[in-house]
Amino acid sequence: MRHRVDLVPLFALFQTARDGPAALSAALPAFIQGGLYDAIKFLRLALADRLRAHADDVTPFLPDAYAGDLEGFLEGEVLRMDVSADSLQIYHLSALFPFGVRVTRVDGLREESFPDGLAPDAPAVRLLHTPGHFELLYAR
Amino acid sequence: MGNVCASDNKHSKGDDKPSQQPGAKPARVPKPVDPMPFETHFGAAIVPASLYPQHLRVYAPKQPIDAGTFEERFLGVREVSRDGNCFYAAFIYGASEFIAANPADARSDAIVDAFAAPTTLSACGTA
Repeated sequence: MRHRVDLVPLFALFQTARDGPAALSAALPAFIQGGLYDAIKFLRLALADRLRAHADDVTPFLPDAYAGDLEGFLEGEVLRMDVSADSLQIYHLSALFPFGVRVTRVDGLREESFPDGLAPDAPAVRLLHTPGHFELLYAR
Repeated sequence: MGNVCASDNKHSKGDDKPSQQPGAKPARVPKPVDPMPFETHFGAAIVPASLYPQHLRVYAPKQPIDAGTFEERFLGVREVSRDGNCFYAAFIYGASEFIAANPADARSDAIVDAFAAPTTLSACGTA
């Protein structure tokens, strides 16, 4: 199956972001209306492709509900536009892009880095994981 | 880790559908609209760490949080829409913020290049 997504608005956002945080804030409303969901779809497709390419490594770590069924997992947990990510998806997405993820669990405030050993100064998004949800988190 | 952030988009099953008479024209399907306007995709402002524990109680009343430690370690939280795409949307937002804060950094170029990588694009059939 071929999927078409329009990444032009995302690249326009990145270009605008080079003018600084104020420019980024000003550009976000238009991007959200016209490009955010395509960008999300792109990430989901790229992640699914990565998981298929590493099927031997991924399959043993699938949730019990999918017991070895990678395509079922991709359909139910990765490509669906209303299902968030779990550690498996976060690990592989961070391996696909030069941009790490630091997840702080609200319960205990312990931090986990993706990929493992992420350098302290590496580009990364910091997330707060609350039950069933992620928020953007800003450290002091 | 739970993996659904769509808890506020549930609908009742079936009982709100109008009955259709035989031979009647099928109901027009409305054009999809974004259920989450800008303010709820990403919070317009950062919720200060001092207020966040109180804020969290609205969504997760039983979730324990060490308010003192949280405020000590963090400036605050920017909300992300609870539409099931929270992780992916936050990833994109974070990448954009890094570029905005480090426009001349080679790593910003690397991030943009990764989104444009031909191997990834072709693998996804991306236009």
